[in-house]
Amino acid sequence: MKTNSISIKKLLSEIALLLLTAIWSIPIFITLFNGVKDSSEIMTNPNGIPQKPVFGNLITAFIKGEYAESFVTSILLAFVSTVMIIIICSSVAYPLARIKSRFNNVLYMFFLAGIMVPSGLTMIPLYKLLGILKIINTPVALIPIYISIHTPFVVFIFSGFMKTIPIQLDESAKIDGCTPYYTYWKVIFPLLKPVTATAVIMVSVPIFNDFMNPLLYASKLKTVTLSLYSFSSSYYTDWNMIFAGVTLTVIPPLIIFFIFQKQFEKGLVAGAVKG
Amino acid sequence: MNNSSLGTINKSSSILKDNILFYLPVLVIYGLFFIFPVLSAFYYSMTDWNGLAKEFNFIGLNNFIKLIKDDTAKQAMINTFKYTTIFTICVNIFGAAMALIFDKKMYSRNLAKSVFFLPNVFNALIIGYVWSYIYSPIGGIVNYFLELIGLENLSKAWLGDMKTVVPAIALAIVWQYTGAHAIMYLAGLQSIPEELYEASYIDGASQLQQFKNITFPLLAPAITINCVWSFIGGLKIFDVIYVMTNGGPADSSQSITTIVYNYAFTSNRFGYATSLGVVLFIIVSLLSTTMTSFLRRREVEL
Repeated sequence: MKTNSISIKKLLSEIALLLLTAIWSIPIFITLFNGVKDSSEIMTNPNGIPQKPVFGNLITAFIKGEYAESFVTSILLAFVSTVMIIIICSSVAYPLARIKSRFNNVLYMFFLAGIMVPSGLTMIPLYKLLGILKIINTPVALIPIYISIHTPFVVFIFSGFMKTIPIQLDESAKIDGCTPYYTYWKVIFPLLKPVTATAVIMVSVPIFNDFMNPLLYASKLKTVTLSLYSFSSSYYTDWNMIFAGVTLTVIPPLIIFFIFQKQFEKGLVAGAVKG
Repeated sequence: MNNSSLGTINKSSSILKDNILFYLPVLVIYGLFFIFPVLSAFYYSMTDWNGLAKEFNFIGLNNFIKLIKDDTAKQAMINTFKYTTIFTICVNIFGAAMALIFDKKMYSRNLAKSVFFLPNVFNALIIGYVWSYIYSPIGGIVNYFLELIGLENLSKAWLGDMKTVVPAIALAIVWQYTGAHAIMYLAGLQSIPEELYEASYIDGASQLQQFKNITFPLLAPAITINCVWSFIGGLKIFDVIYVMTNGGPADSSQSITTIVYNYAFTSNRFGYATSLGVVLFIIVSLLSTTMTSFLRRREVEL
């Protein structure tokens, strides 16, 4: 009798969780369904499963939104920025993790403070600075911005991880005559693979998805978000076309997510550890 | 012994000299593209720069004095607190509740975890468009549900109504980030040693007592980090508002950051806009450090 009632309770809670999940996923299904409806079906069937799906919407959106060019731009932007972030942040994390000095403490404080700075504060000075450097509306404007946005988090997770690497490794490398730079690159960096993978995922997806910084500093550039924005502005209330455009930008992060879900979770947990 | 080696306590100057290549890239980029703009923001906030002119004047605290009488800015400030409050409360309650569910051994939990986390990898436009559609008076699913349960007199244009636009936008962002916070809470839950539950079970503690006396106090570090993160995120809110309403109707959904953007890039008041940015920075840093120290105090060491 007792086991029976427990299993019914278990079954009910499974059903409840599935129901909750189904409700939570409604916006995802609205996006995917409505992107393949024609302009009359979206009026008669605004939220349901498409009766006669038209995948041509996606092709129209791909061509009219100039997604081919913008995908290349955004992927390159995310790739170059991420590689630079990993190298720059892991290298400064090394002395931060190994040496106790006042300078390092101050630097650490500066990184911590960076988390509290709203974009509203730096928006205008950055705009002016990029203008002076004559790099506004170029990808070169965005890369250093992405590097500085992500520096605090990436430095924290790298230096946290490095503290778990035995210092004896550094010492024996030094006895063998290695410079600190050589030790870092040949001994320490290869050991950082797990945390590097986490950092890559936590950094590249937000850069690929970023809308605000291209809007502010490189609005003439074709990134995926800017293309989607101008594409959907030109369709104003043709929701089926807007959703077709949206669907295209959903697909790449979706693929990355299903491959690297574990890395995302690790990244969040790393960020959640007391800093 | 070579006193410049890594791993020893040292004079700052010689450390910097021997490791300069580690520091240089970050000092140059973070310094030029982050620290420098932050510092110069304080200067621009005291000028009348219009964004175009080569020359502009230093006008001291005039911008800040003008801000006090600026009703749009005041409205944006109130809205920012509303966004932040709704976002912080909902995302932490939903996140913690989902984490408690994900912590149970259930067949559907991995599917649920994926679905809840998924919106976190979507860009602001995706969130903005799909939620604009959900709230829309024509074909929107919110009104459809209200009709379904016989409450059609409550249905409205959720983003067109000055009373509902702020919570409506806030809930869209709650949808985006609940999964991420759930995973952070889950990590906190899983760091609580199993023995504590076993021992209390032997002592005859009920599930409610276990939650009150073990789970809740030992979850404190996770509560701190989740609250502070969502709080700072809420105060900085910009892009989803920009996409969904661009601050409308009649400025009723502006946040401080969208106002800074509008003052600067649509009305060319760069100096004035920056002074609002400075105010936001002061609010964020004061409130988030207060919040952190308050929440840290109730954390217990194991």
